[in-house]
Amino acid sequence: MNKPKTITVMQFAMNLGTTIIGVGLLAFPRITAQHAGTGAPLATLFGVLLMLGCALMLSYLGHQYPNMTLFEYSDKLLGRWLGRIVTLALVLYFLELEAMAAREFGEVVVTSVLQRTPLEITILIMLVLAATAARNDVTVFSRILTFYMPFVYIPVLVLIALTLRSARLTNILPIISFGYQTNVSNYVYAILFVACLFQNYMITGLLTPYMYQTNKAWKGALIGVVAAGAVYLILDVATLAVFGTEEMKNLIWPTLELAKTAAIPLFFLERLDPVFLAVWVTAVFTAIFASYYFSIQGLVHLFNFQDHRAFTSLLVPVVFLAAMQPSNIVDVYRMVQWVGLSGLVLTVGIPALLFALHFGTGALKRKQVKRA
Amino acid sequence: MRFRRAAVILITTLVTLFTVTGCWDRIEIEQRATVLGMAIDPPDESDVRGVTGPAARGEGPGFKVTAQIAIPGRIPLGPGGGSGGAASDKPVWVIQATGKTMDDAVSSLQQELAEKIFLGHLRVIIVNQELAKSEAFNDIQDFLRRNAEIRRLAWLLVSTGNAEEAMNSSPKLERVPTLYLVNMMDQSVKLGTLPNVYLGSFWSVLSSRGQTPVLPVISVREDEIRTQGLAIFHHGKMVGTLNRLETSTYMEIQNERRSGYAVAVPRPSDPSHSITVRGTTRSSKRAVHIVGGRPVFDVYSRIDSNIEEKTGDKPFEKPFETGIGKVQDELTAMVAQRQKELIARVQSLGVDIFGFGEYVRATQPAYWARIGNGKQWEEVFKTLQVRVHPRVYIRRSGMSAR
Amino acid sequence: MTLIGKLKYRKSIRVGDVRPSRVQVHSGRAHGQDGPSAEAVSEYRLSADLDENLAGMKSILGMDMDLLIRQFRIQINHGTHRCALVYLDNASSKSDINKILASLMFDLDKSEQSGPTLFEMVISQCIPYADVSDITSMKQAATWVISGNSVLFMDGVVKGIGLCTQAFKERAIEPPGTEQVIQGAREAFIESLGTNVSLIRRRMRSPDLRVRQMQIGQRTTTNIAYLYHANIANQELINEVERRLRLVETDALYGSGYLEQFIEDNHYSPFPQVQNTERPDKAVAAMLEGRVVILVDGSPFALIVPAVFSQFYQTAEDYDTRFHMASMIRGIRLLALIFSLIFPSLYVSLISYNPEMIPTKFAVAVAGGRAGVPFPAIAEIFGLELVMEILREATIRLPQQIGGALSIVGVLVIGEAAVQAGFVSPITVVIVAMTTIGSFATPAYNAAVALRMLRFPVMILAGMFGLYGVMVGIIFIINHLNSLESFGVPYLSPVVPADASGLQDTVIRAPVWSMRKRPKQLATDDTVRVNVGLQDLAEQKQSPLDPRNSQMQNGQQPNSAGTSAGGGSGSQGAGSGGSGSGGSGRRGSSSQGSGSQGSSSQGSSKGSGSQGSSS
Repeated sequence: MNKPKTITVMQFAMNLGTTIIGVGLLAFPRITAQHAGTGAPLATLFGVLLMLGCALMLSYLGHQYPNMTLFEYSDKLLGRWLGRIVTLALVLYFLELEAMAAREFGEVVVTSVLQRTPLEITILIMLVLAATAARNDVTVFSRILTFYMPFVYIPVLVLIALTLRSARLTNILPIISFGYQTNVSNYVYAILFVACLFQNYMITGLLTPYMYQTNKAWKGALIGVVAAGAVYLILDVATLAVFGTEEMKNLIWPTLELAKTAAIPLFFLERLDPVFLAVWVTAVFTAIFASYYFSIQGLVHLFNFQDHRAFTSLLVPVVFLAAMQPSNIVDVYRMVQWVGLSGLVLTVGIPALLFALHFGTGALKRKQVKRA
Repeated sequence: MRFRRAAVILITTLVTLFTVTGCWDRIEIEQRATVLGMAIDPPDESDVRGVTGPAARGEGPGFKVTAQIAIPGRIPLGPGGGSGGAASDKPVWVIQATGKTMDDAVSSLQQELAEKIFLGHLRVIIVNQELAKSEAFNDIQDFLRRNAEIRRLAWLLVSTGNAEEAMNSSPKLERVPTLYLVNMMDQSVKLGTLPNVYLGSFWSVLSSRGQTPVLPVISVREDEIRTQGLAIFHHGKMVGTLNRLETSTYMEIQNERRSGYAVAVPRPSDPSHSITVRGTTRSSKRAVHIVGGRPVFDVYSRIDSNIEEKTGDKPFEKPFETGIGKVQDELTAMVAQRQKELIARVQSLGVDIFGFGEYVRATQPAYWARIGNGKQWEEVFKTLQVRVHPRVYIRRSGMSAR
Repeated sequence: MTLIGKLKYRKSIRVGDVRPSRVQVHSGRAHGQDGPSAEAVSEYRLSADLDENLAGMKSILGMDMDLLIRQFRIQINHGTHRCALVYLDNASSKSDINKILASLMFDLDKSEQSGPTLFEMVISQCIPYADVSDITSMKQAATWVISGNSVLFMDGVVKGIGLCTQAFKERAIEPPGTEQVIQGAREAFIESLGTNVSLIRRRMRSPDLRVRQMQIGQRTTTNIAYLYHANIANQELINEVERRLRLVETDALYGSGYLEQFIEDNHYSPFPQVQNTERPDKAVAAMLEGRVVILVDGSPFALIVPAVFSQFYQTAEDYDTRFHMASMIRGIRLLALIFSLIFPSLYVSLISYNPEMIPTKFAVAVAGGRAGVPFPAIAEIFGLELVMEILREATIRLPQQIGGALSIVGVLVIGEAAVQAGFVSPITVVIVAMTTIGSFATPAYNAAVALRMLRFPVMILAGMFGLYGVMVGIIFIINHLNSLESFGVPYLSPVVPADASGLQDTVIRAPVWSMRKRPKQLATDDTVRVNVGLQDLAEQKQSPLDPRNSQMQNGQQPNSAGTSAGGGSGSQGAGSGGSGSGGSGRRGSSSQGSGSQGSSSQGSSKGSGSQGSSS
């Protein structure tokens, strides 16, 4: 199967960087502060490094199988049936991930701006948006993600610049909270929760066969994950510096509250939180779109379809029902954390497994060659 | 083909959404009762209605909420519009309601209005100090925190008199009383006479374990609104106030850069007359050492100032050069004395308004963990040793050379 | 597929051809592989009998009032031959025809001469005329005549002679109506294909300019031509353009916009994927970027393919002004473009959903303005925008003198009256006016229309969901833009996918000397367009009037220029260069030293020569 080579390394990096930043942006400072206190930024850094490792593994595999998607080479490495099970697990997991992201964002919108609009509508709009965009091929998928990169990154940087004057250095100290405010299991939990935010890096497995230079995929993965990690990190530092750990635990979406603290003097707009929320629709869209697209491509591979478009609208009701499962906001966040953490088994485990298998089979083959 | 299907999906979705459902959240700007300011007092009489049901109850007798609502069209924009109405048609409408809880009171307020109450433009919330001193203050915080419309940059003020009077006042320079009040507070921050403690920062400090918050205090008497210093809080309740000079001292220790307070010292050569200097900028640093298992603080503060006034007909202390040094020393001693007094006072109250606790938490995490992650900080603070090292510098003497 | 639809005329390339409209036909493709079957051709084959031929012409063309058949005799090749010239009145140039007749009828000297055949004789000796061609079939003759040319039939000859006498009435070249510039050329294309080709030729005097002609429209047989630069444009692109043009099977081709709808990639998209321009300079610039220009006879708009989005906020003038200004103005135009799309929606979402964003005082004032208005903001602005569109349409249709007056009346009176009547709030009028002005600032009319129309659905979304709705609408549009391609070129390139050399000419217009490469997405054969770097430009420059230079030269060695010119090569450029670097050698100053160093490091003969002479 020949795939058109249309994606440059920078584009790949931008795609990763865009898709990793999603709705988790809004709540994650609270969850990390709850579990790691002022050590949250450091925990974020560890989380980033963990996922960076996975992304590098996946991009290495992408280079080893330069014409195959993740699903294809997992078939090859794991065998047909095991590969299918892995693909199915990933498909279902990313659908659930998409559902959770859509639900989380729906909750944000309904709580903060559109209080009387039914939750179902806001979720459905997001899903329809992702479904219509998912009708395109991988080249366009990559182009769309690339385009939104500035819309995702610039607002975060602007927000941080605007709120810097409310920041207090003492709020982020001590950097190592370990042993004082938190224990090992909580700290690890914070690290793993941050890692959950990066699960969309799996699109690496989808994009590498379309790259011009797969040998430089690792560079793209490095830049993309580090850029997204930097955004999460500085956002965590900024919210912590402005609010402090104790206040952060009171705020359901600290990043949104940070936007409420921002003000541009002498500007036409007095409050900026609706603007930031509006611009972050793009961030949420790209994340949802990427997980949805990943699932659809997985399904196409699973059923050996030629055209993926049939799935795009078919899956919307499925995801919608999954999104409507949690009954209230507390439930949503319990579910988000549970789903995210258990999903790490897949998103960290599968690349690691494939990586090991790749080397294992490679070594086996070399041995056979030697014997012969 | 591809596009046609996408278009069909898009169009059917849009059409069904638009026709079947409509706009749920659309409330036109003129259909909103834009609350600009809110004053919260304890109710005058005991028969407080509970409109949200018999279960509505809170600590204290309840709340009397006075809201200032902008009347559309009465606040003209642009030049030349101001000559219209005088006092007969005030640009705002002040309405009042009581309730057992905050939400109860606001719901009761809503009963008086056709338009939906909109708190997105709420700029000032004034709480009567009687309420601020009671447990009910927590309930006010909770109401404000939950509401997504509330601005984090709004001013939360404590009033010494009846808060509602502030809503009824009619300042001469600005047609909307609330906006005048906002302006006044913003200017105070710019002039360096008040720290910038908006609602959001109050909440942040309130939550933290190593610091207790302060809020600006205003006094309202008929049309006269004055800033009066700061209210200090302990466990979410107001426990005292800082007067204007104490506020100045507080800001010195807190490293608030802009300085706007003037202070007078007796002239070294003639104690019956004085020299007044006004601070321009301040800076302060603090350091903590653990001495004998207890933290010891050093606070280094520096104030730059200009001479503003001298009384008496004699020229400035001669020679000018050493004279300035003398005045500086005098000032430094005075500031040191004030800082010591203020710290001693808040220590006796057990209220760490300076955030020494936060500093310990940040820089001495091991010690902080030992005192139960700050649970015993209040006790430690009461006997905390704080050494102050202020320096006052006179930089300029104005246009006069003598 | 009819014969005519498949006829292909090829324009021969002649540099400096003053009348390119005279199209010379080398060979009808009638006998080619695309042609009809042999029976069909024989059906229309000309006969040797003149009357039969004339009768055939009459039957094909009908007895139209403007069909003229001039019968006459010529004396040539030792005999008198009956001839007839068939042409259309008013479509052919009378003076040309008179000239032809004169040459045929009066030059009796030739009657004694003899040649191989009558046809050869006539064509080689009797017709003093540039563009002639063989006519072999009746159908071809008919085609020839209806395009304004004339056909000479001779008794006893089975071929006709096609004479290019085409002279359709055409208007003068005027300044462009839609793409006006302040600084820059004032010429615009007109309806005549030939004139348009000549306008382009004048601007690109390159033997590599290719003009390929074909005819589209079974009933109108409209001439179209696609032009490209043979050394620059990608061959695959040219093939694809030709393939798509060949696919067009239609009755009629009314104009370039009509053709555009056949050859664009996504037929449902509101966005134009083909750029059209009425400026020859823009067309030439496009060709030099590696694009293909399509001209349609009868349409003053040239089509440029492939088109990308960023072309729609760029004007030809941008390259004429300094790059700082051009970049800033482009930024403003892009802003205006975005404004025209989302301004009313932003207004609706601020007023109806997020009034907390507006400054308090202003919010209260707006509320006051809206207090008496009976409609929600969305209905108000939707209605007013609709009225504005009607007004705009009315202004275009009206004669120019009335149009200006009406637009003032419309805006002032209707706006004022609507506010007075309490129908709309004053701020709405302001918003609508700003939107309209924003859409006028877009240079490309078709792109402006697309965004103008798209603002209505976005407005509906804003009315339903506020800012969230606006964002959803924008995301929809951006996704669509990202999925669009024009001849395989991503619509949003060179922004996405990013291309460093292409990004120099998007919102920011880099200095012309720094845009060394052609847009990468066009995969041009020749990639470099500017060969000189800033370094070279700076180093070669002299300041002859700078008193610091002249004083030293005149004072010390008055005839230094002569010696150095003698040492250098004889050309003028080398002489002036030599004098400068010669001076530097004498002065030995650091500032001039760099100049001489630069020229010697380039290894040019003049630099080293002059240095040698001065030392």
